[in-house]
Amino acid sequence: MLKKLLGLGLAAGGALSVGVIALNRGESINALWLLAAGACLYTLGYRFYAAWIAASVLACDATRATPAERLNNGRDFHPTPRWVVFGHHFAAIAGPGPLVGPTLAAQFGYLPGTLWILIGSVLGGCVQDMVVLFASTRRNGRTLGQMAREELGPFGGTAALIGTLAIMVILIAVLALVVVNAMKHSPWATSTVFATIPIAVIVGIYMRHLRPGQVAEGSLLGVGLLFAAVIGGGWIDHQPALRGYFDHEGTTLAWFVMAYGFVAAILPVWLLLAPRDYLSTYLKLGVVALLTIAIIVIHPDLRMPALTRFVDGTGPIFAGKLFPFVFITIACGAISGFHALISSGTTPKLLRNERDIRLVGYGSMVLESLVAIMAMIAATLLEPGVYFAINSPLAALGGTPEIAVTTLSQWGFPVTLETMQTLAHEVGESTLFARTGGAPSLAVGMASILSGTFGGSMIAIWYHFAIMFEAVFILTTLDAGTRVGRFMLQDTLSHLWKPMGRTSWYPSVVFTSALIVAAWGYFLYVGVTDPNGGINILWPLFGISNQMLAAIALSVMTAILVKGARPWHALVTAAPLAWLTVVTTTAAWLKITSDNPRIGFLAGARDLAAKFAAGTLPPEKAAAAGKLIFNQRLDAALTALFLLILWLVIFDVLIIVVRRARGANFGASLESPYVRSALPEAGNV
Amino acid sequence: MSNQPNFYNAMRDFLRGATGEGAYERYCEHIAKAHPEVTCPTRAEFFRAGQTERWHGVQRCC
Repeated sequence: MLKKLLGLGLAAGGALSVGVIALNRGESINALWLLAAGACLYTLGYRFYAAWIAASVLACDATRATPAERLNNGRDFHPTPRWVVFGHHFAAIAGPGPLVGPTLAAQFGYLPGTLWILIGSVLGGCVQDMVVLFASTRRNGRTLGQMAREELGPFGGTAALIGTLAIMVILIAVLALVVVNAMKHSPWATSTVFATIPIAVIVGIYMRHLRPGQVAEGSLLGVGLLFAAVIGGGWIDHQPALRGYFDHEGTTLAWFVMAYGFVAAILPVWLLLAPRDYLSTYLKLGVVALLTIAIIVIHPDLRMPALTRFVDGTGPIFAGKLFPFVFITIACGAISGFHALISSGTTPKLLRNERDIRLVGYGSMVLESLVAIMAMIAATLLEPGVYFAINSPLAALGGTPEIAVTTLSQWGFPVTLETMQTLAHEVGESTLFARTGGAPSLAVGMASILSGTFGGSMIAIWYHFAIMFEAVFILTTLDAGTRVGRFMLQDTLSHLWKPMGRTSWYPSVVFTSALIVAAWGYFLYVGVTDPNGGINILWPLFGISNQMLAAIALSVMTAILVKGARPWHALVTAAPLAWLTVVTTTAAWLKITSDNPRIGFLAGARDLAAKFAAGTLPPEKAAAAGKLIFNQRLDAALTALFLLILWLVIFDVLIIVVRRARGANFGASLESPYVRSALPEAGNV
Repeated sequence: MSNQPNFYNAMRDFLRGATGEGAYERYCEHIAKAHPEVTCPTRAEFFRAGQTERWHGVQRCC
């Protein structure tokens, strides 16, 4: 009875908040409505939908021993309290993705992105994470690739492998581009980000040699040093003799980042990767908590309209209509295929009881989705003119800051040169025009929220704290991703030549690391030299690859559920799979075939080639033309490959569904046999 | 250190678990129970082995 009342109350509250968000026209809306809508929808989803999935669809069994109990080795397999597993899992899935995607998608207005984040996570992303976690737990912690091979056949396994490798390369490239754009000609940001490297090394040495295993002490030391680095960066910025050392072009910074990625991938993990990861985890949790409190305290009004004119596809930040591009731009935060890699493999080895699957799988993604909502708030509380001036490449606004402000004002987003100058001066930057990639605009938003709550005079410090926070995040993903890519490549190459598979054999380590860095470094470099900012090309490619991986994960899960006792229940994964397939296919198709040179890769290449031949390109664009034309064609080929993989996997699933419906042999699903748990949670006294 | 289930102890256990501080004690406990013939490695050895192993798979996301 109480549960029903709670459900009714939540439904009413959710309907009210969503109604206010969706129907509000003309007047500005308070950010708290977004948080309220989130709170209601998330609780409804968690209390009812996730509970039903756990009980009826998956039939989680509290008496069944988990791999952590059966295979307990005290190390990677060990039964762990549910909130600790939750913490580990959330720290692993939460990266910079949900911060960047909503910031870019805010060009459509706050409404489309917010609705997709809320609905996509409750019905799609959270379900994916939870079902994958369940399936992997029932299979001794098998990875997504292994499950794809076992459930769909060898092609499914290969598709998952190629998908993972491709998404890794594109993801690292686009995130590295975000960092480079945030550091470009900013001595403060550059020196702070550089300082995080020796800080991580100091913490690594502390935790390895000075006080082995005292990770909390080491991390506290590191967080203290990071704060010092932000303040120190401000000091360097004011020293004419020093600031020149940290004032660089994008291309120089791109080479730095590539060199860093290569070194980080071949150094031992304890020296750089592990300590950096501890630091970014603590920063992340701290900042999420801080932002939530601050948004509630200052409850700002959103200045962005619910919908902007750019739903028609003419947006300056990235081109393309609301459908399908908002669903591609916001991947992490609504549904992210990458999470399936974490939900399978690592986390299932810690689960103490199958009852915890709902909290860990569904609950962590709810929190991640909330982070995306906060990024949306931080982007849309800015004056829209300021938001567009920061995030659009100058080429899309007319070429110079002077023309840009006129263009924006004509579009109905008034902004002046003085406003931009004052703001840049306040946050300690030389300019805020065309700082594409989402990081600077998010940092301006976060700085205005945080300084409004915790100290108004320190806006420059909060801005660079936010930049450092994002950079630490991104560099952790870059290190870890390069290393994982290296392992996968070594594994694949070992089939050709055995010694390549030896993970500690230096020639193989150097060779494979260099290959992975070259792969993402290429996309990074082209992105940096692209006068249109690069994000316009790379972010959709990342979105498509991430959604393709989610579709592969959902396909494997659908196959598993279809093989089960109640095949209709497969709809819980088949429905988000169908939506993702429509969205990803439409977006990929448009990116390949659209005649609009800003949307279609091939049209972009043709357009550039024609202008180059006619000699109408400005000199800096003409110099890079050959590279850009080749790159657009390569992007088109990659998109086509993603599309092909996606449809072959879906075809695999359809075969299983048809065989199941006809009663033909559909291949049994491979769960580990039931063993009764001896733990107290299972009802043992 | 008492083991009464109060808020402070619960928070401490959570933080030790989440940061990995308690991993070594837990491992030695496991070894003593499951494989009494094996001697537990030192704390430094344990963390070295664990760190290297931990970073072989996908650990961090977008």
